Amino acid sequence: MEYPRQITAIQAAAILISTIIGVGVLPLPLFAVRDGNSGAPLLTLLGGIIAYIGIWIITKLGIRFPRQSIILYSEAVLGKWTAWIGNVLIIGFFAFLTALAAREFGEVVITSVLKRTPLEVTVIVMLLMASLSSRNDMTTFAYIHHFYLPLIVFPIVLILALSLKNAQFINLLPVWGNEPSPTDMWRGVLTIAALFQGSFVYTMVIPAMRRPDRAMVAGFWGVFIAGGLYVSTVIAAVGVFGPAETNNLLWPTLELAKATSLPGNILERLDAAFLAVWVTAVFTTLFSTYYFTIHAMSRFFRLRDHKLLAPFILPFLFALAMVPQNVVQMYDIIAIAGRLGLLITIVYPLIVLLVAVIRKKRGDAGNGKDAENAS
Amino acid sequence: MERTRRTQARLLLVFVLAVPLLSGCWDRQEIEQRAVVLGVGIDVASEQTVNKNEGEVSHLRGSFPEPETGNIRVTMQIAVPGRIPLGPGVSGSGGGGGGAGGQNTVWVVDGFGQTINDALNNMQQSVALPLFYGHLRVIVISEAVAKKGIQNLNDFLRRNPEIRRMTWMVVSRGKAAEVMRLRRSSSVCRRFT
Repeated sequence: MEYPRQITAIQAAAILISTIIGVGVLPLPLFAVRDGNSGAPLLTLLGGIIAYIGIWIITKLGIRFPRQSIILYSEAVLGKWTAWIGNVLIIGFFAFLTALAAREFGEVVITSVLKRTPLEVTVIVMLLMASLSSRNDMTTFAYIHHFYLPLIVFPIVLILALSLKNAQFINLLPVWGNEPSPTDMWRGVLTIAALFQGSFVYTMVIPAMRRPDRAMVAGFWGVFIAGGLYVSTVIAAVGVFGPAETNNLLWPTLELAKATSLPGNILERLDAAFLAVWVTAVFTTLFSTYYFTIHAMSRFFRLRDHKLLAPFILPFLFALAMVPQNVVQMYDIIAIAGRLGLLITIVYPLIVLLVAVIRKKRGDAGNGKDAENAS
Repeated sequence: MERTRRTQARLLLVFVLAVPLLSGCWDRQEIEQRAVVLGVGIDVASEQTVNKNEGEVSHLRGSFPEPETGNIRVTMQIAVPGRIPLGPGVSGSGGGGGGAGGQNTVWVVDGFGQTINDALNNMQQSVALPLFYGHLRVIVISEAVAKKGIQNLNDFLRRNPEIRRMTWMVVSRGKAAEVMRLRRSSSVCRRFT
């Protein structure tokens, strides 16, 4: 079966942006402010840079092995059994990430919109949607992301721009934070870099790109635009509420949308509009990580197709999503799991890349025997 | 034969899948079925008035340790639907009944309780529609309450997902209830805009 190489650079960037912008937008200013005080925007910027390093490593590997994703080439580079550990961790981590994102979505919805709906219902509906959508092939995957991208980016930019009306520049000073402590800063940077982790799905996108050599450009723009939106979100939230108040809000971005109105009081509060956009953003993120989980599993088990796995992992993800006892514990788990996940999404690829360079391993661009057979 | 059975099975499946959608927005709350709160005033209240006015709604009398911050009286302005002219020149569509000029555009209610949540629950008992704080504009705190510290109140209000963070919070010299009862001769409801 010939691998369809149909994804353009723009689509690849779109996948990155809509994957990165997801459920994490809501607590992002809180994460940044908690460790960085008024230096929150700076912290977010540094987090974005670390995330970009991760993408750079993955892209380097992707260009080196243009026909495979990390599940297969890590076996060629590290040896079958060593890579086996890494791959199991990757699959497990992404299953966990999907479950936590669904849970976080559920918590927001039952708190602010559907107050009398059980948490389980909102979580399972979102997981079902991701599960059904991920039965598509890679090309459709890219189309879905490309289609939703403007619906996510433009409204968020609009809301942020309108909210700046209430912002005060003094809230953002000093830029490096009040009495910054290196350990707190470092922890905050890692927590925020962890919010970019969805971008790891790039490793699955590159083998389907029409021109893998363009992956670097697409990767840069993807992280740049998503990171830019993240930094502006933090600037807007901290600018409007100030660092001390932001620290007291669980979802500062949602509060920001509530406090923002369209000029002329057409809409007095934009939280309904924002939540509608945000649901789309969460869906694309869940869709990506769900797709990546089953795609990686199908490669791992040497299956030809991933469709069968989609409903199969659904109950496991649902059970995982129900593990945290409450919102507070969930965010503790997200912060810790996210930071540990950086070992899997940045450090592990770095090791693979270094070993590949040392051992002079290269993927063949032609029809090698271990070329991926994909739908 | 095999064919028709398959078609039937498929149809059945479609019907079954449609069932969850039939429930629709079962927990929706229409705008005319909400009591839109525009302002909240918070005062201290003496124990006697609280005991007199507080029904046994949120707790049995005496079963609750007295809070250190003392008792609270909450006064609330609730928008009367149809009587609020939205800005100058626009006449309120009061259903033909007199228009906005002579009548109050807001309805002022009191609630007593030991804590703010307690008082709001008691107040809900005297209002038929569920109170909705989404359009709350101003929170007036009397000096006497403010001196005891507003950390507690602020925390309660922050945890309510309906209340916006841009709501005005002011401290009044006299009673907050009097501020809530202030009425301007102008019929335009823009006291807090």
